[in-house]
Amino acid sequence: MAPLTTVFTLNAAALEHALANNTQVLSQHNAALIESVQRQLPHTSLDKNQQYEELAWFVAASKSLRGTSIRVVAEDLAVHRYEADILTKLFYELTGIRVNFEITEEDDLVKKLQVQMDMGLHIYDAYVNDADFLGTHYRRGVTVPISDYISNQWKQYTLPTLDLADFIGTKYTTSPSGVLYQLPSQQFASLYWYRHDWFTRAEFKEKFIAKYGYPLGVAKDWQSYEDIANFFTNDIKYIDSIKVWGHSDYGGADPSVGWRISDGWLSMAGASDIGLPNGQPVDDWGIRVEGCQPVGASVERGGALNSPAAIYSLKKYLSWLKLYANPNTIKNSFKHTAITLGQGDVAQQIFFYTAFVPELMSRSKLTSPDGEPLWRLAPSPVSSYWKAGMKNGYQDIGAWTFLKNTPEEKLISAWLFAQFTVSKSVTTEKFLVSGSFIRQTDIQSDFVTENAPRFGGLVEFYRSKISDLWTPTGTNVPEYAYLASAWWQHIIPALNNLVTPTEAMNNLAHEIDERLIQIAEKYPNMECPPKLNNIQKAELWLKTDSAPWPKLPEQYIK
Amino acid sequence: MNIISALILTSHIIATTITTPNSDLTTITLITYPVPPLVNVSSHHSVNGYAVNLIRRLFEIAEINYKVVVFPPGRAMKTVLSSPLTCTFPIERSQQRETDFIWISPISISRYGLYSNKNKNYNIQTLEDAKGYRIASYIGSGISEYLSSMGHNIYLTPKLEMGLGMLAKNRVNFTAADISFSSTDNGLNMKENIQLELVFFTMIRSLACNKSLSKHLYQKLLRALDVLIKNDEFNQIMNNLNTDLDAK
Repeated sequence: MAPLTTVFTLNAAALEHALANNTQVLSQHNAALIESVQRQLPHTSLDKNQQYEELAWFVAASKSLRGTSIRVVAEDLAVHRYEADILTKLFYELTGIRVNFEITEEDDLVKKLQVQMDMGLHIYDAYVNDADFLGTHYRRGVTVPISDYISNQWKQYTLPTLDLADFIGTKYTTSPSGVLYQLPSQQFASLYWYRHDWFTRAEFKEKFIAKYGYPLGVAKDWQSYEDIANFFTNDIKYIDSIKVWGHSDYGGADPSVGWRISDGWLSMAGASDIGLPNGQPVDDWGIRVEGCQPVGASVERGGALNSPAAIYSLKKYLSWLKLYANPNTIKNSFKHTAITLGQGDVAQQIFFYTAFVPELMSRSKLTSPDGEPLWRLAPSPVSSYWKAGMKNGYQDIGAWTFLKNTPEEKLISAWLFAQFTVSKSVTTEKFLVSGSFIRQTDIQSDFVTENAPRFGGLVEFYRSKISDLWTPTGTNVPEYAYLASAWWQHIIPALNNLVTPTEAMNNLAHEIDERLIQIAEKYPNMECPPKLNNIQKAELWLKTDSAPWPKLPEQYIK
Repeated sequence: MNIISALILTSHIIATTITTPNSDLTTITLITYPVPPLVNVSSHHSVNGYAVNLIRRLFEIAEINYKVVVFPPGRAMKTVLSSPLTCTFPIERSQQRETDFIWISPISISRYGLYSNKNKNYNIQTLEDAKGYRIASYIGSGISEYLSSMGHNIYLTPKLEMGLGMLAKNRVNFTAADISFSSTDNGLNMKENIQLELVFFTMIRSLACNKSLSKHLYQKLLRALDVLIKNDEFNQIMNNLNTDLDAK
C-alpha cells in the first residue's frame, strides 16, 4: 500500500490548501482525487460515471467534518480487515475524516458494546455488531434508530444511492415495528461443506452404495450425514496415504462453542416452531414469546430449549465429534475452522461458516491445478424433527450499529464511513476479498456470474430463494450478550462428560429462564420485557401441535 | 475492607502465603503486577494506580476483606487458576481466558498506541502499516498478544521504560503503550523525544477470580461494581486516567 500512502499525503495537504484558497483548484483537485479512489475500486456494479458521482457525494457531504476522527470496531474477519486496512484510507482521501478501525475478537467486541450500553461510557462511535442483537437493540432504547435518523437529523448525510431496498439483510436488522437499527456490512451463512472431488470418485461411490444401499452424495438428513461420516472415517480411512475424517467440528473451552450450538444446531434439528425468520412463537433458541414478551425457554414454561429435538441435537453434536472427527481438532474453536479444513483431510462439515471461503480458496490442498475449488457448498442436512417452513440454518450479519450516547459530530462522521463501506462503489470489491454479499445488485451482476465457479456454490446459494431459510438469531432473544454466555457454560460440561446431554440442556434451559427473569429486573423500562409463564408439567406443552415438539419414536429419528 | 498493603515478596514466599492453612478464609488475595499507570509498584514496596483505587473502592463497598500481593503477570494468572480465594487484576478479558475464571468487569478502559522516535517519520495510518517494523511491548501489558495475533514483529521488554529507552536509541521502530502513561512523570519526561503515531486498540481490563469463588462473594462484588458505575465513581476514575478517547 505504499503508493496509496503517498497519494493520501499529497492529497490531504493539497486539499487543505485548496479549501482555503481557490474553488477552482479544489474542483480540479477533487476530480483527480476521486479518480484516484476509483482506480482502487475497479470492480463495482455501477458504471464509471455513477461511481464517480457516488464518491463525489462523500467529498461534498463531509465538507464540514474534514479534520475530524472517529473510532469504530469490528470482529476479526477478512472483510473487516479490508475495511480497516484499505477502506479507511480511501475514505480519508475523500473526506479528510480519519477512521481508527479496531479489529478484535467477537467476544471482546460484545463486552465493549455491553459496557457502552450499560454504563453510558462512550468507547466507540460505531460498532459492527451482529444482527443477533436486534432483540436487544429495539428493546433497550439506547441504540440509534437508523431509519428515524435518516428521515431527520441524518437526512443531508444519507447517501442518495444508499438504496436500502438493495440490501439482502435489512429484514433481519429491522425491528418488528419497522425501525431499521443496524446497517449490514457483511453476511455469511452456515452451509454444508463437502469434498466434491472425493464424493465423485468412482471407487468411493461404488463402495458407499454397496455398504449403505444408496448413492454417495450431498447429505440430505442426519442419517445420511452420519453414514458419510462413518464411511470416510472408518471405511475409507486413508486417501493417498493420508488419514481422513468424515466429520469436523470443534469443542474447545471457548465462548465460540456456545455460539456453535446456539447458531445452528437447534435450527437444523428442528427444535423451533414453523415460521420465518426464526419460528413463532418458539424460536430456534427455544424461547417462546407471547406478543413480543419472552415467556420462557424451558419446556416447563412453553419453551423448547430442553425439548427432545434440542437434546437430540446436542447428543449428535457430541457423538459425531467424538466418533468421526480428528481427535486432535476437538479442542479447537471457531478461529481454527479454515486451518482444520485446509489440511485437506476432512470429507464434510455439517455447517461451515462461509466467512472462511476466501481462506479455503487459498489452500493448495483444496484447489485443483486449474484453480477450481475441490469442495462445494450445499444446504445443511436436517434431522427428523425438522419440518418444511422451519428455519434451516444460521446467517451471520455484521451490521453497523450506533449508540445514542455518541457525540453528534462523531455520529455523523461514523454514519458517513459506514455508508462508504456498504456503498455500491465498494461492495463488489468487498465480496472479492471476503466472499460476503450484502447487496442484490452484486449477487446478480455479470462480474459475479463470471467468477461464480471459484466460490463453490456460494453464489448459487444466494441467488436461490432457499437462502431465506438461513437467518440470524431472532428478536425472541431480549439480551443477546447475557443470554449467549449461558450456552458455553452448559455445553462445555457435556463435552467433558461431566453431565449428560439431557442434563446439559435441562440446566441450560433453566438458566436461560432465570436470566430472563434477571433481565426484566435489571431493565425495568425495557420494551417488551420478559414475563415468564408459570411452570407446568412438561407433558402439557409437549401435547400441543407445535414446539416444543414431542419425542419421536426411535425408529423415525435420523 | 480494611487493608491494602502491598506485599512485595519472592514468588516462593507468596505461594506460601496463599496456601497457608492459617489464612483467613474470608480474605481474598488479590494478585497484581505493574501496569503503569493502572498499577504502579514503587521501590518502597507500595502499590498504587487507577486500577488499585477502583479495586479498593470495590472491596470497600462489597465489604470483603482482601490483601494485595505482587507477582509476575504469568505467575499471577497461573496462581489464580489453581488457588481458591484468589483474584488477579488488571487482566485483559480475552475469549481464550473467558472460561478459565470468574470475571468482575470492567475495572479499567485503556487505549493503546504506537509511539515512535520524534526524529522519525513513519506516517502510520493503520495498524497494518506497522507490519514489518519492530515493536517493543512490555510483559504484562497484554497488548503484545494482540499485536502478535495480528502478525506484528514484537520485542518483549520487562518494563515499559526499557521499550521507550530502546525507542530513543532507535533499537525498535515503535513502542506500544497505554496512552495514559504520557500523563505520568515518566511520560512527561519522554515527551520531547517520542510521539504518538496511532491509537490502535481499546482494552477493557477486569478482575479475574478463581472459579471456585462463591456465588455470594461474586454477587457482592458485582453489586459493588454496579454502585461504582451508578454513583459515577467509575467514570471519575477513568477521567482521571486521562485516557483521551478522541486520541488520533
